[in-house]
Amino acid sequence: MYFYFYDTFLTGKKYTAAISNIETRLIHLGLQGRIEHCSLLKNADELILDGIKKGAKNIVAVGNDVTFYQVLKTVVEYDVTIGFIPVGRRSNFARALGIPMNEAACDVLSKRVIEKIDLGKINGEYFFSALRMESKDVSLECDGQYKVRLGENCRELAVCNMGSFAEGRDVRAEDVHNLKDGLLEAVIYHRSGWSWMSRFRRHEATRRDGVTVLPVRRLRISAKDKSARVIADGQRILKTPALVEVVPKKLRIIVGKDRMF
Amino acid sequence: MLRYFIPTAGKKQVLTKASSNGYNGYINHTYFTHMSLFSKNTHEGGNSGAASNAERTDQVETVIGPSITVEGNFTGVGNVMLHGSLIGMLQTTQDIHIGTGAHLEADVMGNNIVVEGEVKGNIKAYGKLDLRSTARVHGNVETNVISVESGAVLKGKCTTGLEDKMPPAMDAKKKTGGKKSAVRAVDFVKEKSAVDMREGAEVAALKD
Repeated sequence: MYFYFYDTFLTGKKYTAAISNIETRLIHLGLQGRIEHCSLLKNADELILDGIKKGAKNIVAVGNDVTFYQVLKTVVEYDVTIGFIPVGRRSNFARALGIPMNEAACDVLSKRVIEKIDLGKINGEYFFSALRMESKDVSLECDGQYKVRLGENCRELAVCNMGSFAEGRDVRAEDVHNLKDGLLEAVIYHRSGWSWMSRFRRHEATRRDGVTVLPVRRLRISAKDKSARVIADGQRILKTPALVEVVPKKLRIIVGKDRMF
Repeated sequence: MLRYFIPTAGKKQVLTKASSNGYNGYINHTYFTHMSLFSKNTHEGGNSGAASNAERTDQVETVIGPSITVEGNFTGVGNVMLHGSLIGMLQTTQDIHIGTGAHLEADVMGNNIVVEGEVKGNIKAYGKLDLRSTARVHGNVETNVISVESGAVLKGKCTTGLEDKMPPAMDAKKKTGGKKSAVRAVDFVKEKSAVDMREGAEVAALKD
């Protein structure tokens, strides 16, 4: 049984046509199910959990990346399969999962290509794409085997499960990490040594510091600054010290054939 | 030739290969490609899910940048590229590249090892050991095949023609999962310590 969770913003007039097309397509494909619209008066978690209690095995988020993340966060501990129908112009999660926008996503749903993907966990809370924090005075303890000290040239730390996507830019294949490898990647971005003068010295190689990539299963992040914060999936803010670990094959998700992992 | 990732501006992102040795899959990294060093195959662009696993080769890569200091026993299962500092031990079942400017106070064990920086410790390469002109090695080296460029410094014993095979401990993670691979990793450590003890006994016997 399918349960469709519609985000609040879809009640707007500009989405009426898109929603109508989606619902028509679902009927043609025989994928009708229970539909619930999130609103200011209804709690999203309660709606979704109510659907699961009534026997829904496929929870489909209809909306944007925030909607998808909301559904994922709610159903992660339940034995259900997650689907996604992205509505609008751009969705990084949809691109990474190989799901086209709007009614074309219904065909992906009907094909039911299901992947079991990894999730990350930080201090007991799940995250899907990445954690980010500034790397000032941060130390890492990886897999209980080695410690990493970050130098002055380190700018930012990201712990990636699916990947850390820049806002306002379409995600590309090289942005997406493997979601089935049972690993997280601790990525430390270094400050570039590029300077204005080097633009005019074409005969000299421009000094560029790259990144550090550490595949880990478990990671402890500690910061000297007690006010240091870790941002999970661009939305939640958590404190340090943080214990981060991978949860392999935690989530069942319907993906498209053009997925980037 | 190495090409490095230019971070977050999103201006240039290239692809590295990923390993499934214990990790069961492929990683698209936004880092850099150094395929000329580790592999001839590259993979670019988006994947079609059906073909992805079949086409991907098994190369998880660890990159330690120039501003990073690692302390402890670093055990990887994929290629390792090191430009920073490492104190402890470095071992992997795949290839290791120690870049110019890297500083190691560690024993190093891998398949093919390229050294361009400074290493204070013993090196064991089951395949080929390549000491480039900027290499500074203070320790013993054991390898099957060695290549030394003009200008490289080696202060220690050099043993070539190594016929030992790489211990398969890390490969077990790929197929059997955590518990069995942990058992095999322990067996590997026991085997290594047994070898070390035998060598130590032989040296002691020779001295006597």
